[in-house]
Amino acid sequence: MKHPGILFIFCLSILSISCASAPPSAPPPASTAALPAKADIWPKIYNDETYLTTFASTWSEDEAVGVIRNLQNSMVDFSANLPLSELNVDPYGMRARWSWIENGSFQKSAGFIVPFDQVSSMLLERYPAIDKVFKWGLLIYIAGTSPVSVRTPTREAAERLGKAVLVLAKARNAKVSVPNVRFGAALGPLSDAQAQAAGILQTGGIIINWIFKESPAEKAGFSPQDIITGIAGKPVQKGDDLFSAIDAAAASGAKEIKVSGIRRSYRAEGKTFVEIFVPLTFTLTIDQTGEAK
Amino acid sequence: MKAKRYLLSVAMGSIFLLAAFAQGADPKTVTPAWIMEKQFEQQQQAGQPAAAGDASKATKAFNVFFIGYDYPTLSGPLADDLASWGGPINFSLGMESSMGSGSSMLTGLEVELFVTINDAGSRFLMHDMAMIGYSFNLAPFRFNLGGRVGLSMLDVMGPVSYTGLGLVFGPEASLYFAIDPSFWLWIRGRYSMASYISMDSGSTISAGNDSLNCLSLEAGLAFKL
Repeated sequence: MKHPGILFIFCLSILSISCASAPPSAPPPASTAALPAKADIWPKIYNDETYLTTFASTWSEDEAVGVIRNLQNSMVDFSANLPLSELNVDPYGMRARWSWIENGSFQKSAGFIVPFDQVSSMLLERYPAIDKVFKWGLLIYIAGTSPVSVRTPTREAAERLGKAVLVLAKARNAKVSVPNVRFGAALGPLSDAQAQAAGILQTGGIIINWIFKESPAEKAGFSPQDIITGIAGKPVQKGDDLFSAIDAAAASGAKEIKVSGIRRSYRAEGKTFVEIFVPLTFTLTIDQTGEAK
Repeated sequence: MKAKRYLLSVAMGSIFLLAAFAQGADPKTVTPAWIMEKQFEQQQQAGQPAAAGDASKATKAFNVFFIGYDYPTLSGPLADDLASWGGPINFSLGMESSMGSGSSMLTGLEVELFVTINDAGSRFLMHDMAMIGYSFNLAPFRFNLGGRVGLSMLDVMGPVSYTGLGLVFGPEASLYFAIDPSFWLWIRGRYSMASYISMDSGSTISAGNDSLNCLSLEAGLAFKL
């Protein structure tokens, strides 16, 4: 090459750009503006969403059986994510199986049984983090045994399954409850650590584990981890205190009711955050029919 | 000790219980702790420390790799000698990095390359420049003003061959438009002046035609680093 300097300078240029393109240095430690260490005592926040619905329908038993049969190709088992290879439905129960090949040749199978007279409650759920296709699901609680859960590609399919199961369960005299349909949240007792952190007695309230979507609680502004301490001026020590007060208000024709609570939050103080517990007042709209929309 | 803590929490509890039955705050005005914790985690994963009272406003600094087409117009004593060497292979690449997410100081590096190869021989002109300036955040635009200084290399192999090595400097202005948080379109204008020393004896440069000015109009794409 007549001018080897060209190659040298070109290499130098590329080298200088490569060096300058290295990622910027690590940011300063966040300790100066960090949230305080979180005590692992509060209900976990899940991606799963539970929707409030009563699965009300006017179907006959035969129609309900037909709906479930038609849904066979739209269902997968919750955990195995396998299509149902076998589905038998009659007015007394639903039996399903799915199978897979293990170690190249061994066929294995599993299944579930839903005896309609043992169904105790159902929940419509959405699992955005699990599967992009089968992201809706129905959780069927059965008295005395583990719940059965199936997933479907659409909300409509999960709701149709729930409606059909409810028709058949009611026909078998099962007591199927839709828990706290006028509120719409999963509630639990306060732990000792939670009560101490919030500065109240352990019997001074109940904690919200999660909120059902499209529920009166969601519309009133409740959030998971909120503590409910009172309703209409009376203390709340367990879930029944809350539900019976709401039902009593509905019976008296009240349109709304005040609920007292405490919310855990953070307040900025200079460059740090301090954990605080803020008393709140919620206005819960009372659904006179007690049916979820 | 535990009994004391228990009594203290009961006493505080009574106060809170009374407070709970008093008119509390509107739930819409109090962000739940778990939402703030989630935001904080996301910011930490993105390498951004949360700022108290401004947790959601943190954004990344402007830090890009760019590549684009360069349209040069040469002038000065050497321009006449190079007039017959015009060609389409002209491009520039480099990086620019601001000191902060808002308007702030800016630094960068750029290689500008003009290559012509034809039957008469070849011409190779390269500017390798460092840049310092100021970046104005006019979201979604970035307007950068600054100056570049660096090395210039001129190599001609043809009927008359010579090589010059020199210094180049000049002002520039560029405008970036964010198509996406990690992708920009950009245009730039720069006027640079270069002065060479000859690597050969008896060349055009050693005869005194030792400077070259270049008006560069550039446009291209930039990607987040």
